[in-house]
Formats: sequence, structure tokens, C-alpha cells
Amino acid sequence: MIPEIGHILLIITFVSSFIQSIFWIITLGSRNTVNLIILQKFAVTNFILISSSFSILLYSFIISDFSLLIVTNNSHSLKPLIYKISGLWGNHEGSLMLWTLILTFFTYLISRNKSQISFKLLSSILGVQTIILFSFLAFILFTSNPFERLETPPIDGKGLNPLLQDPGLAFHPPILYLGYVGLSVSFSFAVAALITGEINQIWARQIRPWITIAWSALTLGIALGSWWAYYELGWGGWWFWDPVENASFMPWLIATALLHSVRLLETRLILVSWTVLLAILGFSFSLLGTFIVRSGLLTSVHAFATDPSRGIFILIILTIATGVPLILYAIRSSDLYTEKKIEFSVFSKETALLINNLFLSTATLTILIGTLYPLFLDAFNGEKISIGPAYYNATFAPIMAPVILIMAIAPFLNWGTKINNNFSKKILFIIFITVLGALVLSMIKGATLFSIVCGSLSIWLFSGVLINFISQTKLNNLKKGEFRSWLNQLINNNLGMHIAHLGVAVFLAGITGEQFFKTEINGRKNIGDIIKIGDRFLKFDDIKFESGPNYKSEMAIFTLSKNNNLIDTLKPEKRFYPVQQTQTTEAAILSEFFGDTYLVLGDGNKEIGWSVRLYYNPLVSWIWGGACLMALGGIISIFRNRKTKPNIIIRNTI
Amino acid sequence: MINILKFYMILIFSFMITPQSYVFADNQSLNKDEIINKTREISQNIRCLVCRNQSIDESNSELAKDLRVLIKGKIIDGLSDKEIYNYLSNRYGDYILLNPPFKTNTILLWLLPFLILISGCFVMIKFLKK
Amino acid sequence: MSYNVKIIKMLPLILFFSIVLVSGLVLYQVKYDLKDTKELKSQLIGKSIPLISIPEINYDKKINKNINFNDFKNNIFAVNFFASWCAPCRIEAPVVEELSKFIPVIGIAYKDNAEDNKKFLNDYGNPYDKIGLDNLGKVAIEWGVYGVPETFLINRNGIIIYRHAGPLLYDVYKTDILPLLE
Repeated sequence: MIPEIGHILLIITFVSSFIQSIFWIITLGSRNTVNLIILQKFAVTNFILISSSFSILLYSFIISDFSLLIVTNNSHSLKPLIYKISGLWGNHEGSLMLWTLILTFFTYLISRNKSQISFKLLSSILGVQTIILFSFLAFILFTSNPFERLETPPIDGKGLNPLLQDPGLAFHPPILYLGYVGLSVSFSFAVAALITGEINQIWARQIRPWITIAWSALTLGIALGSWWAYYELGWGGWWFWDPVENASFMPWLIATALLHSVRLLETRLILVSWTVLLAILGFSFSLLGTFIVRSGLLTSVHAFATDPSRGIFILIILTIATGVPLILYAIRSSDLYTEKKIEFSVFSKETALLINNLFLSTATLTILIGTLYPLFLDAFNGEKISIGPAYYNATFAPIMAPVILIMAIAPFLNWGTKINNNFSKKILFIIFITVLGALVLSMIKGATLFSIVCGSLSIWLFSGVLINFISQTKLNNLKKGEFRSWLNQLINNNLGMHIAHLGVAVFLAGITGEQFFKTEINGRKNIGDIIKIGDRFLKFDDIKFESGPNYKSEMAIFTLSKNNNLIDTLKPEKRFYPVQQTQTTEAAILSEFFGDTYLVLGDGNKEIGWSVRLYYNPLVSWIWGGACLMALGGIISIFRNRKTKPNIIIRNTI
Repeated sequence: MINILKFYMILIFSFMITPQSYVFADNQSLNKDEIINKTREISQNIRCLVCRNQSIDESNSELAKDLRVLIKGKIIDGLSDKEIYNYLSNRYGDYILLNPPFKTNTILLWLLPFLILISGCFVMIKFLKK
Repeated sequence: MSYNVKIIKMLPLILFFSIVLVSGLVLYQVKYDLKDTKELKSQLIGKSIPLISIPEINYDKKINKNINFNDFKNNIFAVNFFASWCAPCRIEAPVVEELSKFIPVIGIAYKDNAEDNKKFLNDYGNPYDKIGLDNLGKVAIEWGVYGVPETFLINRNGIIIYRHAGPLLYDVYKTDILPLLE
């Protein structure tokens, strides 16, 4: 009975969002502010309805109600509670419910906006969000109903893939969806701007936190997914340029470009139509990603159950959701024009941000080409090719390199035509440190040209961030006694940006270490053998057989020591999950600041020994750490509240 | 500004060519360790057709093992990297190569990013002049 | 000037629609089973039989002989890679039997041994005119085989004209009777 209520709630919301959409379209030309209030009330209602429906689904998972198809397919009575919960969104139907929940929540938050934003703009934003809600509910109700019942419920569920029973992977989807849905908000802002013809600095100020939240969430979500792959898949790989990974990376790149473009818009009111285009495309890429993953278009180890009819439905949503705004854009964007001409020199922040946007967009298109090209070629003449890391190293990497270079120096460029006095001094300092660093790198064993370039880029960025932070902090009148106002000044002086850029530098350093200076030892070892890693010794002590809640494991015990002092015990395992009939390897990883010791157990027995793979991955934690810093920087920057003077007005057309 | 652009174009171009350097790699007279490294290097660029998301270097399937043995044999015979990749793609198609070759049907693939960048630069310069 | 700008603003739209069009096309094909996204096209179609010699499987330790494909010239014939340990091979056995009524079928035992192979044939029937043994998998690599079972059709001139990867199911069998009509 209860799940039916959940289903009915969905239907009610579906009808309600339909009515709202019609209402909004009808009242588009009107100047009556009551319409906005009605839309706001609707937003609250939608949120309440969907969260109730979601809670019912959640409840069904928690009590293991196997009369629901979704619970049977994705849960099992033996699963720990947290994985029963995360099993809700680890599949197609459930993930859509989660997406819709976040969508209604964000819409509700927008409806509470009390800033100076015009009521027409706000109504349109809410209107567009509602149409998105309507489309997703249509998709759910017609092709992906989570509340579908089973005629004869089984005694127990089919369990979940043991690979997915994991803290990293449990939180990867929700965080990622926060990002995707956040991009839908900026999308709505952009479309609303096209419809109402209103874009100004207030618009930019209001959209910025949403883009930032989306960007930070995407950063964390992608990093979490990669980190999971690193420790779960057993060979230390963390990025494969897989279509699904690319599908999450492209929105991230666009969000980064958008973040910077909006900054430009907010301060100098240029790149208006470009920013609008980016905001539209950000959400389109999120939808495109959804499409690729669920449609059977591209097979991938990641892909959800592939179903062409669902794919066609999403394709239709994608076409309308992107096509209509793009048509609007082609027609209306020339009306969003600023009348004041601004000037800026070649060595200005404006130029830097322009270049940043150009290169980031090209990088995004490059990844799109790499992801879709095999598909197109296959459709064209049936030939199948694959696009692997070498392609992206040859195209994506060289395109991103200038972005890194500029990232370090842009913060101390000025707006407009003012030239910074200390500019040349600062650049020389950065160049000096980088050349020094490059020399040091070239002396490390195993250094190649690529590794030196990558490492140097990281050092370049590190020194840039350092210089910028010092010079910006010096500009403050630091009254050390007053901590709060000091912190406030720091934040207003771009602390968020510094931390985020620092995060990129750390990330790059991590890549350099992990990719280029990794060492591997492969072989057959038996109990009692000792492997030497640098100045440490890894001793194979024992093999044990253990049982977990839903698996049996063969576990090796290794002890790592230096100078006869125990550093740690590593226990790589091979697990067998009887319900799923699958075997997984659990690598033993010792994560330290300067690198990971990564140990994998293979097949074997007491007679011939076991096949063992040992990696040392220098600086690999810096990859995840860098991403966390980036997200942290993003979140801090939300609290930046410099008052921008809206002294440039755009001609409004309706 | 133009000089910076020129320098940068040369840099990009050299980056794009470097991965293709395997074309010229000759495998005569390698010692034992080098043979193993070269086998692994080539294997990392070959897709396992059984577990399609892994290279044959990573995969444990029978076919992967057989192909690794085959590649090692060919290296010992002195075939160049390119000849080995061709040997495999002649029998299994370009799909088995994890990196797209530079052929008539992939010219667009390799050149498009570059072209987009250049046209983007032109548009931007035009915009700046306004 | 504004004309140029209009074109530039239309660009994303045009690009987008072309992507949608192609994706829709591919999806349409996938949905109506007009193409199988997992199966690979054989590189050997249109080429002659690979030159690698295949020893005949030796059940009774008799004299060693290689399979001579010239024996089958002027005839369309099939080559079927199979193995006693391969489950789908059991499923396709009746269809291969059916095929062998029309044309000669040469079996190649992949990574198999004579004893197990003999048992398999006893259990599931022996439709083969000749059987070769590829115990190391080298023949399979020359033929671009990536799994068992796989079935090839060769025409009168020794040219490979068709390859099916996976078990030969009855509906697939129907679609390749057509070339047989030549």
C-alpha cells in the first residue's frame, strides 16, 4: 500500500508541474507579482511531494520490501544498512529519483531568493526549473517507475554487485548529482535571461554561488569516483578516459569556464552572450552524459543496464532541452548587449580570462570528439576504433598547459588598462623557481620529457599561487587582533581562488608522481619471502582464511618495516561473494604523504607460492588531496561578498 | 603576442607528434630486460577483446596471455613497434589498438582539436579588436 | 558583420543537431537489432585463408598430417572454431549439424586435447569432415579469432566471405544460407 502512495505522489507532482509550466507560460507577459508568489508556493509543494515519495522509496529499501522490483534487484537482507540505503541510487530508476529530489530542493531554495533580482527573472527561472522537473517526471513515470511491484515477491533480493558495496561508491552518485542539478540551475538562469532579456551584474551575482556549488560538487564527485577506482580495481589505475568518465568530466570543464566567465561578466559586463551559451551547454553536457550512460549507445564497464527505448526518451529530452534554448540563443542573444565600450590591455585580467575560456572550451570539445568519434565512425562505415590515453595526452594535455601557465599569473594582472608595477619582478621569480624545479626533476631516476614538463607546470603554479597570496594578503590592513574581520578580508581577497588554484597545483604534482615515477615489482612469493622497497622491507608472513558479512576471503599478511621497526601491516585479500558468484581483489594500500604502497594478491598456494604485485605510487594522495582543496576553495569563495557596483545597465528588451 | 603564439604552436605540434614516435622505434638487439619492458609497453596499448575495458597487459584472460606471448616473440624477432601493431590490427581490426592510428579515417580526429583552437584564437582576436 | 555573427550563433545549434541525428540513427539501429554493438567485423573478409598450417587432431596417435584446404576447393565450406570446454559450443552443435548437411564443415579444436575433444563429439555429435587441433591458440590468432565458438564461410576460390562470432543460432544460420545459394 505504501509504495503505491509513493507512486501516486509522483503522479500528483507530474500533474502539478504540468499545470505550473502552463501557468508560467501564460503569465509570461504579465506584470502581476502575485504570479511569482504562486510559483514560489508551487516550488515548496513540489519539494514536499517529491521528498515524501523519495522517503517512501527509502523506507522500502530499509525494511527490504522485496515486493518492489527495484529493491529485489538492488538489495539483499544481508547487506549492511548503509548499503541498503545507497542501493537506492545505485541503479537507473533510483538515481533518477535522487536527481529529481535534488532538483526540487534547489528549486525551492531559488524560490526563497530575496535579493534584488527582478520578479520577472525569478519567475522565469522557476518556470524553466519546473519544465525540467516535468520532463524528468515524465521519463520516470513512463519508462523508469521505481515503484513497480513484483507479482510474487522473492524471499530475498538479488543483492548488489559487491564492487558497489563500498563507502566511496555509495557517495559518488549523490555528490555528482548535486553538481549536475546545480548546472540545471545556471541553465535556468540563462534561459530565463534569454526570455526576459534581462542580464546585469545582479544576475551574475545570483548565479555565481550556484555555479560554484555545482563545480565543487562535480570536483568532489569525480575525485571520489577516481579514488574508488584506484583502490578497488586492483591495478592502481584511476582514470581511463572511459565514455562515462568523460561524460562527467565535460560538464566539469564547462563549469570551470563558466565560473570564470561569470566573474568577468560580474566585474566588467563583457562576454554576456558567451556566458549564457556556456550555462546552456553545461546542463546539456550533463544530460548528454546521462544519455550516454543509459542508452546503450556506448558500451562501457560503467554503464547502467542499457536500454535503447530509454535512450530514445532521453535523447528527446536532450534535444528539446538543448535545442530550444539554442534556438532562443541564436535569435535573442544579440539583444543582450552592453552599450558601454570597455578597454583592456593585452596583459590584463580580461585577456587572461578570455584565453582561459577559449582553451577550456576547446578542451571540452576535444574530449567530446574523442568520446563520440568511435560512435560516428561506426555509424558511418562500420569500422570500430578505440580512443585511448595517447589521444588525450596528445590533444587535451597540450591544450590545458597554457591554462595552467596563465592560472599562475592572471591573479596579479589588473583589470582594464592599468599595468601592474611589480609584474615583471613576479614573473621572473616564478620562472626562476620553475627552471630550478625542472632541473631538480630531470635528475630524478626515470624522468622523461613529459614528466619534467608536467612537474614544472605544477611548480610554476605553486610559485604563482604563493606570490599571489603573499601580495594580496599584504594589501590588507591586517588587524591581527580581530580574527573574524581578518578572515573576512582574506576571503574577500580571493582566499577561495588561492586555495582552489593551490589544489590544482597539488593535483598536478600528484599526477606527475603517480604517472611518471611509479615503480612496480611483480612476482611469485611464498610465506617467508622478503621484498625490498627503497630502504624498507616487506615480509610475507602468513595466509589466512576469513569470513565477512557476505563474503569469504583469502587474506595474506605482510609486514612493512624499516630498520627492524614495524611501519604497518598490509593485508591484501581475494574475496568471494557467494550470492553474486563473483570474486574481487582487495588491494592493501598504505597511504602516506609522499606516496602509496599498493599490494595486490593473486592466485597461488603453499606449494608454488602466490603471485604478488607491489606498486609504489609517489604522491598519489596529492591527486585526491588536490581535488579536495579545489572543492574547499570553491566553497570558501561562495562567502565572498564584495559589493559590486551595478553601474552599467543593459538595454532591456521584452 | 604573435611570437608567443608561434612558439606555442610549435610546442603543441611537437607534443602531438611525440606519441607517434612509436612508428620509428626499432626493436633489434634489445637485452632481456628491455624486451620485457617493450612487451609491457606494447601490451598496454592493446585492448583485451575478452574484458574490453582492459589492456592485455592488465587482463588475465587466455587471449591476453597468448597475445602477450606473441608480442614478445615478435620483439625478439626484431619487428618494429609499428609492424607489431599492424600485425595485430590486420587480424583484429583497429579496435584492438587502444590508441587511434593516424589513418585517412582518423585524420579528422587528430586535427579537429587543433583546428578548433586556431579558429577560436581568430575569433577571439577579432573580438578583442572591436 | 551582423550576418557573420548570426552564423556564429547558429553554430552550436547546428553542431548539436548533427550529434543528435547521428546518435538517434545509431540508437535506432541498436533498438531494432540492425547492428550488434558487441560483435566485431572480421578483418579477413575478402582475403584468402591464412597460411598457417593446422595439424589434424590425432585421436589414436596415428601419423601426423596437416589439414589441406585444397581438398575443399570448388566447394563452399565452413570452418568452425570450437572446444570441448566451451559451453556455447554445445548450444550451437545442432545448428552446425544442420549446416553440415549442405556444405562440408571443418572443425578446429581450440586449446583442447584429443581425449576431451573425443568425449565432446560423442556427446554432441560429430558434424565435421575434418578436425584440426590448435592447442596453443596460434591458429586462432592468425584467423583473428577472439573467443569460441566462431564460424567462417569460405567460397570456392578459398576467400573468406563471412564470419560469425559466438554460437551459431538458428536465426543467424538463416541469414547466411543466402550466400550459400551462390
